[in-house]
Amino acid sequence: MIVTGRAALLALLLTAPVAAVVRSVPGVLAVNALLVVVLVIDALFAGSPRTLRLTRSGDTTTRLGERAEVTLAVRNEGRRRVVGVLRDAWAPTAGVAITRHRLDLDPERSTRITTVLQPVRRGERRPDLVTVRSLGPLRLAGRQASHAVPWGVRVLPGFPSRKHLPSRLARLRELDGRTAVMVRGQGTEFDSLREYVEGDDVRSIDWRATARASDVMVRTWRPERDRRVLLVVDTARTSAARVGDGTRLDASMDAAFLLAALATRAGDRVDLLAFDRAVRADVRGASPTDVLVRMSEGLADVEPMLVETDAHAMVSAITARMRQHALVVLLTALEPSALREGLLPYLPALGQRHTVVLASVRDGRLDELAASRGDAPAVYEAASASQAVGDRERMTSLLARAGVEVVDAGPDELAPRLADRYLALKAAGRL
Amino acid sequence: MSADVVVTPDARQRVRRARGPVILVVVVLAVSLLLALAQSRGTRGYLDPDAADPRGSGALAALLREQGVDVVRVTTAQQAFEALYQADGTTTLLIAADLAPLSPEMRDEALQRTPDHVVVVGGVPGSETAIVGWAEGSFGGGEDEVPPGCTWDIAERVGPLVDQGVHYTSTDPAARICWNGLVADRPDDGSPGKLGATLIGNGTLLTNDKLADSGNAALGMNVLGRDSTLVWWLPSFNDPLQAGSSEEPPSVSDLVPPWVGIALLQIAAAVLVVVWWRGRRLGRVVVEPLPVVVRATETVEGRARLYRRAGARDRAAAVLRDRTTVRLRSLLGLPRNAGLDEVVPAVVARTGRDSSAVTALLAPGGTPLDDAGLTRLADALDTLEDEVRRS
Repeated sequence: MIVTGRAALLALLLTAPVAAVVRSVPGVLAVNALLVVVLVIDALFAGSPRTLRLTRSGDTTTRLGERAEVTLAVRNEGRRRVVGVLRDAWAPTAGVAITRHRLDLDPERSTRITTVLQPVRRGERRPDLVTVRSLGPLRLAGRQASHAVPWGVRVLPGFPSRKHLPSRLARLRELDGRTAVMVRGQGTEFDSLREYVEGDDVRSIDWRATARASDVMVRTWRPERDRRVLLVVDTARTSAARVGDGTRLDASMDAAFLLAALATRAGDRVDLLAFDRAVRADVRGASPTDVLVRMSEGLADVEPMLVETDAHAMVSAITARMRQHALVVLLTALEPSALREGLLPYLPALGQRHTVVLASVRDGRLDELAASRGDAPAVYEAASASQAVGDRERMTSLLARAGVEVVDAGPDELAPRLADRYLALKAAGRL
Repeated sequence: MSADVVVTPDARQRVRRARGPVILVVVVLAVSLLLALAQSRGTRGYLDPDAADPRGSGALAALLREQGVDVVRVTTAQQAFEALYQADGTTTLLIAADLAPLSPEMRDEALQRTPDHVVVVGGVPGSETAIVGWAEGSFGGGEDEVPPGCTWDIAERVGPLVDQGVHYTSTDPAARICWNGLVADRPDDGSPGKLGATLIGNGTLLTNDKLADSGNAALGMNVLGRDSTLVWWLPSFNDPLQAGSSEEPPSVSDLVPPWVGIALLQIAAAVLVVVWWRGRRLGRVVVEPLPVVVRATETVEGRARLYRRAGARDRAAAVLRDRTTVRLRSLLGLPRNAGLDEVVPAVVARTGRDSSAVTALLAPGGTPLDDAGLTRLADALDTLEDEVRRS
């Protein structure tokens, strides 16, 4: 049983008559006992919140940054009208703006309440309890009950770097022989001869073919297809670092999505592995049409773990998946101490079998700190940051010596820079 | 579509769930009530006719009741008067005078209707003598029994007593002084200012633990059992007629009008309703486990504070010089492993600075003496780099 603000106001308003007329302690007790009786009777006349039948329907998946709608159908199966408030509670990161709804339902009637979710975090978002507060005819008191109405909305990771995809696809088409380009290396293969159109490089004209035909012909080349790409997302402690708006893991996932989208269009096969001390997500043998969907679903629940990467197990998992030569992209952090203790010893061996790219989200704050001047604390911070920057540079050259390509860029820059590196590798035929 | 389960317990479930705790609370309350009753029975103190402890007088009161005496226990002068007024037959008033002083108002109130006998039990010289107005008291006596030594039929019946306590003397010829003054008696003859009474100089004679000694029981029975009703007055400091109680200044509660208290009571009730209203949430608090997030530069900032606390100017200066040298190499197009002997001439050639000054700036050693010096070094390195960049 609950009471409303009206009941409190009524109790307060009773002060004047009680002080003027009643004027005795037993009288006051009697008046308030009467008030309680009125409240109890009002609550008894409220429609039962327990007899409501609640069912949910609506979206079960959405992408981070997009909306989802979940509808709650409410049917009054009791004998009395239910008037009051309904609260459809969701966790804060589900991004539900309005959780309280007015309710006025006659018996045997239904209504639908639509909750709009704007999740701010990926993963499975579940509702908490639905609580109904039903008020009596005097609106002085009422009854309240909570219903568990399970549902789940799976929030897939965002793909903010999608905007870079068209420009990278255009460059892929340049490589692809649909435009005649001069670049040709060991990774390109002869594609076709076609008529010269204005704008083609004159150096790609095939004079012999031109002589045979009546028109000027150009040779086109295209890169090799059907290469394999393995994206390895490190989900250990270094991925929990907040860089920019999100964590390093969020930026790594974004870069993985862009690369997967690009590589799929380029005709390569993309696999994904999320790993810290064990496999957190594993996408293998997905068809080009559903690789992005499966990656999204696989990574939706993955969160950073506060553990150190098990480098040996990670490399074992990579070699078990990739028997032939492949492009292995390690989305981890260029953290000298963590790398020296972890992956570095395994990279030369890995680099002999595969082309290895290490992509790291760079924290712009580090460069800001390294440039800070003014007073003694700032200079000490600059020295400390410079030390870190120097360590990273030394690690980068150490990795380069081990045959590992390093892409080190800020959270917004990493995805396009990694895509560029992929295109460069593809053009050079190193896949 | 999904299932709907009501999770709030209904009335029946709530009763079932609350049963255990309620039973526990009831048992605890019952046990403590029983214990309180068992302890409180008859333990109300010195000379109390209902008290069973050694200093009480329950035994004597019980003996008197067996003899058909109606023992009425009172604590205020008003009650004493009422008890005397309402009693049938003859009455005795016992005043336990050493519990609290008797103000004249209390004495006059209680004695509005004069009882047939008055017994004043003392132990404090002066307290009882003021009541009767014909005797003086002082401490005295020893451990030994003494004979009554007076002509009073009751004394003769009682026999020897231990005469420790207040000893009374009197110049009144009508007064009978027995047991060296431990007990004094004067019949009421109507003389003004002199109350006919029996004074007992030691209250412990009538208590439970001493009742069996010498002739104590006989004294009590004979003195107190003369009439059909015994009003046993235990005066207290809380008596409304007690000296001083009526002279207190009026308190705040005497000054406010009576309806204010009633209004405050109703407002308190309204506050309770507000608590009831605000006390119930519309559904429980939603909790959500969140993933861990670490600031990326936390270790860097921590190391900066360590440098500063340790005053590691040498280390900081070395790092800053090293980084500037690295950037100068790439600005000047020198190989990565180029030493200072190659960097310094290149800088001199670009900027026209003095060679030794550039060496002093870039070479290791020459640790700044204080933090200000370190700040100046950082600025000087920046200036040098800017010059090379612009040239």
